[in-house]
Amino acid sequence: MATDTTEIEAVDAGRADHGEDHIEHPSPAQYWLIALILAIITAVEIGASYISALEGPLLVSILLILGGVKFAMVVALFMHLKFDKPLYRNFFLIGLFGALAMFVVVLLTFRAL
Amino acid sequence: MSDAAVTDTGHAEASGHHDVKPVRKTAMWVFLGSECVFFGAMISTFLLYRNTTNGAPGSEIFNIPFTSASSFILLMSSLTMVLAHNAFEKKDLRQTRVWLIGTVLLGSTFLAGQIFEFTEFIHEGLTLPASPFGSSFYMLTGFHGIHVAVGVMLLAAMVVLSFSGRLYDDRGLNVELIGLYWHFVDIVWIVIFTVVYLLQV
Repeated sequence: MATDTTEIEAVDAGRADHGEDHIEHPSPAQYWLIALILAIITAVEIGASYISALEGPLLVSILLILGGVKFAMVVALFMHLKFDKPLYRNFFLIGLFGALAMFVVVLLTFRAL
Repeated sequence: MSDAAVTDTGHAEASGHHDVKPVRKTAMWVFLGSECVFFGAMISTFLLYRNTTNGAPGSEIFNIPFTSASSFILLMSSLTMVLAHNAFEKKDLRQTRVWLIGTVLLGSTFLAGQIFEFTEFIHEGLTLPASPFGSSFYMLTGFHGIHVAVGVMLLAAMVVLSFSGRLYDDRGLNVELIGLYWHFVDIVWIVIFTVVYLLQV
């Protein structure tokens, strides 16, 4: 334990030297709430996939929107991209848009879209 | 180079240290961005071949309730991971360890479920060479499984480091960077679960 404390103090001192920013992240209670919302969205997704009245483009739209909301919530709140430097967000978005562009090009090329 | 990166370097040089923390975090985000393209290619390939079953089983053999439970487990592992990171930031070593162990257990459960699912599919005739559908399905979900396995190993290494008192060692990968990787694995599964499983049934 003594070793842990010494190391933690050393890291703290290093952070203070470097003037590291402290941006307020969500509290543990808020993380639980976010997880609850994610679980509810997942349940709605599964339920929607079993409702025969929602087949076709409507179902596809609903599932893609719900999946997109879950994706955005995890990236923004659990990965802290909402609170971090824009540099990180930009690097991630470049990759994400690259993936989407490739997805559209591939499926259009093979006439699968 | 962006202003943020320049400012970080400036702080580090002014204090006479070479702080590589922001560089490592930037590198992790670049890596995750490149991983988006990697999985984007895999998902595109699956969608291209989703109807090419060549007589072998297709998406009708998917067990949605079982995969939903697996998805829920992986989603909750993101919660335990973020709680581990939160405790790490507050220097609460005991809580950090507890949540890290929880994440390892949930990740391992997801992997066990995936192995069980693959075994069932193979018994039903959906093998890797059976059809383009089978190949693209196993390549996509298999590579995701490998990513989960790597994440579990990294998290287990963090747990071991916490017992040897080196968790706050500021070199190499730390809880924050491994947490980013773990959440990324989770968001990839969110896409796979929606596009590969739910949209095909």
